[in-house]
Amino acid sequence: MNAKKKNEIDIFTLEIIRSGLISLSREMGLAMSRTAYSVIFSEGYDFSCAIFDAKAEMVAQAEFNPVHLGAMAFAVEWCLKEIGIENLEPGDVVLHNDPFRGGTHITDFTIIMPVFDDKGNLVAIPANRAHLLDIGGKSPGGFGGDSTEVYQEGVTIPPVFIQKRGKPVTDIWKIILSNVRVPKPIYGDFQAMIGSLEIGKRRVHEYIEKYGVDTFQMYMEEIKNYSEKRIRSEIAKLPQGTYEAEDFLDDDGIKAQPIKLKVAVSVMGDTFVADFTGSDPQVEGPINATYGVAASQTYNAVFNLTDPYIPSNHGCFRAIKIIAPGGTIVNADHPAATFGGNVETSSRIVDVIMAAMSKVVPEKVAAGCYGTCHNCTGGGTDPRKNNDPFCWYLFREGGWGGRATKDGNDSLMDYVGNDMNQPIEVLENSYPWLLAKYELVNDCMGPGKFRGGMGTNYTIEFLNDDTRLNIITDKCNQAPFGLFGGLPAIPREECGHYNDIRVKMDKDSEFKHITEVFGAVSASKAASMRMPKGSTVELMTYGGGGYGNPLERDPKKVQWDVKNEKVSLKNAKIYYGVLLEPKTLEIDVAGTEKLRKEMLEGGKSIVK
Amino acid sequence: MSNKKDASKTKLFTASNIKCYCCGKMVPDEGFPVEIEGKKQLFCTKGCYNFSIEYKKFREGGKI
Ligand SMILES: [Zn+2]
Repeated sequence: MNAKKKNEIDIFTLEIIRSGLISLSREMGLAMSRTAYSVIFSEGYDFSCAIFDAKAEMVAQAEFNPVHLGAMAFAVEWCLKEIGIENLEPGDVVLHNDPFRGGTHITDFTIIMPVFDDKGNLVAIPANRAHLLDIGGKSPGGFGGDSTEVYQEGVTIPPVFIQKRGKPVTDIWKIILSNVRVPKPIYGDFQAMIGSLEIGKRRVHEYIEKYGVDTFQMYMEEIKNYSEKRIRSEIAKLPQGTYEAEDFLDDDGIKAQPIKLKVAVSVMGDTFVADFTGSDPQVEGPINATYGVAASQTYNAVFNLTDPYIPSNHGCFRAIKIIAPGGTIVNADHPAATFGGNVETSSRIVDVIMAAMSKVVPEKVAAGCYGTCHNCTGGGTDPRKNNDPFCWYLFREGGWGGRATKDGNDSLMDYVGNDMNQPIEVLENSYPWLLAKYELVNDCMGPGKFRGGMGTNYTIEFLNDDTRLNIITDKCNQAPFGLFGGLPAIPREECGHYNDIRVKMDKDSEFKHITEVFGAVSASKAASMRMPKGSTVELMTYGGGGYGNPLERDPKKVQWDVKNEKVSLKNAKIYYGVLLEPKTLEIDVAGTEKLRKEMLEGGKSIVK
Repeated sequence: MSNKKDASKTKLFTASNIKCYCCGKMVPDEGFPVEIEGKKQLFCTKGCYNFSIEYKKFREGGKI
């Protein structure tokens, strides 16, 4: 028997509903991946699912894509404002992809399905956001590294119904499917998205049946309040004050000059403020972030600085304030090109907030991450499949920064994306490719007491004749930063690798930089590069920055790295001051002590 | 006088660059207008306007 009075919160019920809604978000995601047509859905998990309440406030999300999840909050709210709640009916599905309405970039579609009780009152809104393979525009698969306005990046669909009272709105479907290069997988992926919302709807009805509408809604409200209380108490523990930092993007793909991001982070009582005033104006090329991206990445940074067990939802967002002046690189005005804003500038937003906070909470931050989603897209026709058109989206992992107690992670997706590795076997089956090489990149990790993680080298040979290749990446010019005596990642060229994208136009030729072959202005951003049969692209990512003085690294750890071919004998000596016997790799204890003493006394961070 | 309909007055064109004077968020509805130094400025909400005053005071307290 329930002894609780009406309107009284029972903590056990609260916890059951709270966990249940997170589990529901996960279940929606699983349904999407298992019914998807494209590899980025089924394997890459480049999507996110969440539950919103009738006020369009996020109540639960699962551990999907951080850049989607924070920005979705704005998309759902603005969708409802634009469509009008009074125009929603059971069985409706609303879709949109506008980066300037809480979107992220134009291939990311948000869809929502309102759920009503039997009296016709809106109760909850299951929603998801996912990256579709193509939405038209000048470059197959998107990510044209030389786009200068959103119109070149694809077709903008404002909030519209694609399903009304359970029936597809065929006019909208026709408009979308006639504007994309690969309509079949895109149709299938949209169906997977709608299917996942159907699961959301079914489960919400189960909650209504079990608890009653009023009780269910009361608990949804309390779930947000609970998160707000917890995150505010964490923020209040941070030292009060304002902390500033700057970071830079390599270039915008149009002009070869760096772009500044500036932040003043204020811990103001129990509110966290990220003020991006002073960041560079928006640029011509496709790396402009929209407000949704600036907000989601600020949330991301705060979640990294606070207790990871706080449930992320609208309650947390109440405690975080973002000041992103319009017309700047972090909040561009329409119709700026925004493809890379969501994947590159986003990463720098987290980095710059972390750099500001490193001054006061060194134990909670990591050194610089490889700092890019290393986006590689393209398309063509597949001779193995009756010349069917195909498009792909690959994001590559790299090294994360060293931490206060541990090395940085090797080969992990950038923290803005949190997407999964797409397995080689699935890719080779899906596309006319031969994956010629996939390996960890040794020696370039930032040296430190805790070193940066390792980047990767991923080399694709194209087996068809008409591939067009697009690249948007960054950190070709600037290494991920080190912290507290840790060194930045070592430029890849110093370690016998390469700092940018290289291509080989036929089997027998040499690798060359895309700037040489295609005349690209930027070493990291280019579009629609024609790749003939037998040509190859090499995608290499940076290691992370180091944390703490490398001369304080346990020599046994350096020895282990050398034994595992992560660090060379040469770098063990010049960066870590560790001498190893070349044949046996035993530590020369006396020699190491002497060398480290000399380096420390001479104030040398490197000995050559 | 032209009889043509003014496109900007229909509700069909909804892309907006009207942004909050404080936070930069898009202002999709009427927002919260305030006169500052003789100029009308638009805030996304009254809450954001109140925050902007508090924040200004906090920053004037000096940064670290
Ligand atoms: Zn505002």
